[in-house]
Amino acid sequence: MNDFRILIVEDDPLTRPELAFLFQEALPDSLILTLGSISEARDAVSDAVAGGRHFDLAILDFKLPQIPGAHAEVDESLCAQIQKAMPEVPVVHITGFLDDPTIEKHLAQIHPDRGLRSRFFDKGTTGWPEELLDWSEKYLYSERVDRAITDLFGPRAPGLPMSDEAVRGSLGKSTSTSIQLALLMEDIRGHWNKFDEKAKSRIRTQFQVDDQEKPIRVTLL
Amino acid sequence: MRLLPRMENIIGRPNEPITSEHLAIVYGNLNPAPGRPGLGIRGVRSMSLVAHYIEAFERLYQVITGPLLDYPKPKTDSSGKTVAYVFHIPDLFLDGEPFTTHDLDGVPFIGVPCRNSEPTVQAAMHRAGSAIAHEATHVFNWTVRPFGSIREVDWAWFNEATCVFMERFVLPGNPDSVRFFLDWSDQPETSLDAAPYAAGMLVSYLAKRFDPRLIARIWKESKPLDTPFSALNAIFRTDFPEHHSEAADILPIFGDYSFDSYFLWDHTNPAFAPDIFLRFGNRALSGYVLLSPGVETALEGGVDHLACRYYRFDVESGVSAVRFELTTSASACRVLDARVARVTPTGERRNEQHLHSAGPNAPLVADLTVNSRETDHIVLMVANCGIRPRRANPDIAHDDNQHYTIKVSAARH
Repeated sequence: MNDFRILIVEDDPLTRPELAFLFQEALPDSLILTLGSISEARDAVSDAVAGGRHFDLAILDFKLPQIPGAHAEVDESLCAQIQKAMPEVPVVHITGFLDDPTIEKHLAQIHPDRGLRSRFFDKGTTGWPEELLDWSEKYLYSERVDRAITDLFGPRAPGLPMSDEAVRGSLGKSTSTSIQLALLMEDIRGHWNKFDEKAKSRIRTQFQVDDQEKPIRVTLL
Repeated sequence: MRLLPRMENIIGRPNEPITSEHLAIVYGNLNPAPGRPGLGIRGVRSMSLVAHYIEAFERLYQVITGPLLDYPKPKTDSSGKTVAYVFHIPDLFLDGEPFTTHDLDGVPFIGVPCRNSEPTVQAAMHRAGSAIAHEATHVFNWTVRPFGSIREVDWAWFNEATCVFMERFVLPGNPDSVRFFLDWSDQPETSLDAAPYAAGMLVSYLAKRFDPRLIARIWKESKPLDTPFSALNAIFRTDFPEHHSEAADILPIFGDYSFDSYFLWDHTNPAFAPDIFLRFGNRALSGYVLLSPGVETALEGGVDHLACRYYRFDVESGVSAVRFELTTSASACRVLDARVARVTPTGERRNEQHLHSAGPNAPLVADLTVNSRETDHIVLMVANCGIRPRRANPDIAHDDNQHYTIKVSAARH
């Protein structure tokens, strides 16, 4: 199941529903929470932290009003709040003001690594919403498969034995290894084209993947 | 016989496989033997472990491919045998648990542990038999519905539950599977599909109440987009129409199963499970009230999809009848099944009643006549027969967290 939780904060009344539709259509089981102001987003982040259900991804416009209907201004506080409260959650910025010095400085200082966990999208570029969705799906599926591989095989290279501590830490789960493996292989088969190269490399440390065939064939190495 | 290079590497210098009619065991020895080094913790200490694996596998094979269940034979390589690797599983998987998967050609194989730490030899052999019977059932399930032909996420709980059922069905003297039912006993409020091993109780219930063939038929007759629920409902439609549900998102038999599961000691009941009753006792209660004559009391509760709660009422002398009124929302009313019964001092169930509604928006009500000398206690069960779990997307309808209020009034003689 693709039960991801995605926060989108965008005040533009045309862009917000467009993003909501695009993401919900691609990820129908997921929570796509689209909000238009900093105050609403702050409440949503606080609720998520209090409920122990962090977002998997946050997508923030740079210029946002404090409350719905107010004047939009460059805001860094929401990004900071999310990074503090949910440090594991990547924040993706969308902006039409890339040449604004505050935004330039924020991207350079807070998101210097424009790689897997930190990106921005220029709203002046044609097709940016689709690119954003494409990147988001790659990130979400890749992170999930990476976590599933770690859950199943442990945080180690193939062939190395597991520490007793790690083995003890895995007790009490409700899903068997057979089913975990079947679900993981189903995920690999179903989302192979959605994984980034790093995730594909990680998968290939444990699995043989024949992607020349349709459907893709997967087995343990 | 085709062996996976990786598995051979992990086992490290295995012996020649030991074979039976349908199984090939790849293993090494713990201790060195003439001409062979020992594998230490990666090898078996005694051949009796291997023998128990073979015996349980062959017994399972015989039953599952026999005339009753009639599963097709599993896909194998040209040797005609399923391979089981007996090894130190933590070398491969974090949790060290037995597993079943398949190679690139879809040929299933099994991994089972070369050692276990059960405190007695008998317990160790029971664990071994149970483990391979469980994994062998996965082999057959995935033979009927191969990897990639079903949405594994929909079938995961039923796959696991079928394996636990088969452990109990094929190895009836083996108590190993009892360990799966600790949480089932202590947390009836856990959803069926959230506790896949414990769901083996529902599968056993269906097999006993209807026919063991029903379980095999769910696997064999399901269509590509079926879930276990839709496949079961399709069989009910043709063979047991009184249990068929017109609403695809409700499983009415779950109400029967939940209520019967309170009476684990009753041999006339398809939920009869004396081993589980002896080990864990009654299923856990969500509420308890001592009913005095003329007193009225109220309880609040909520129950998730495919889960239930039990409430116990002890009755003081002077109480002649008890009225139960359950108030809930219209959506909850659609999925909730509430029942009450008197339990006699000898543990028999008497005066079982559904709580019924007199009309739209009216509470569900049942009136129970009580003779305190013939009553040990009264049990009220509230089961949620809705099958839809809550999803991250709040716009998707679900059956979780259905709230209710129960008003109980005890009448005087």
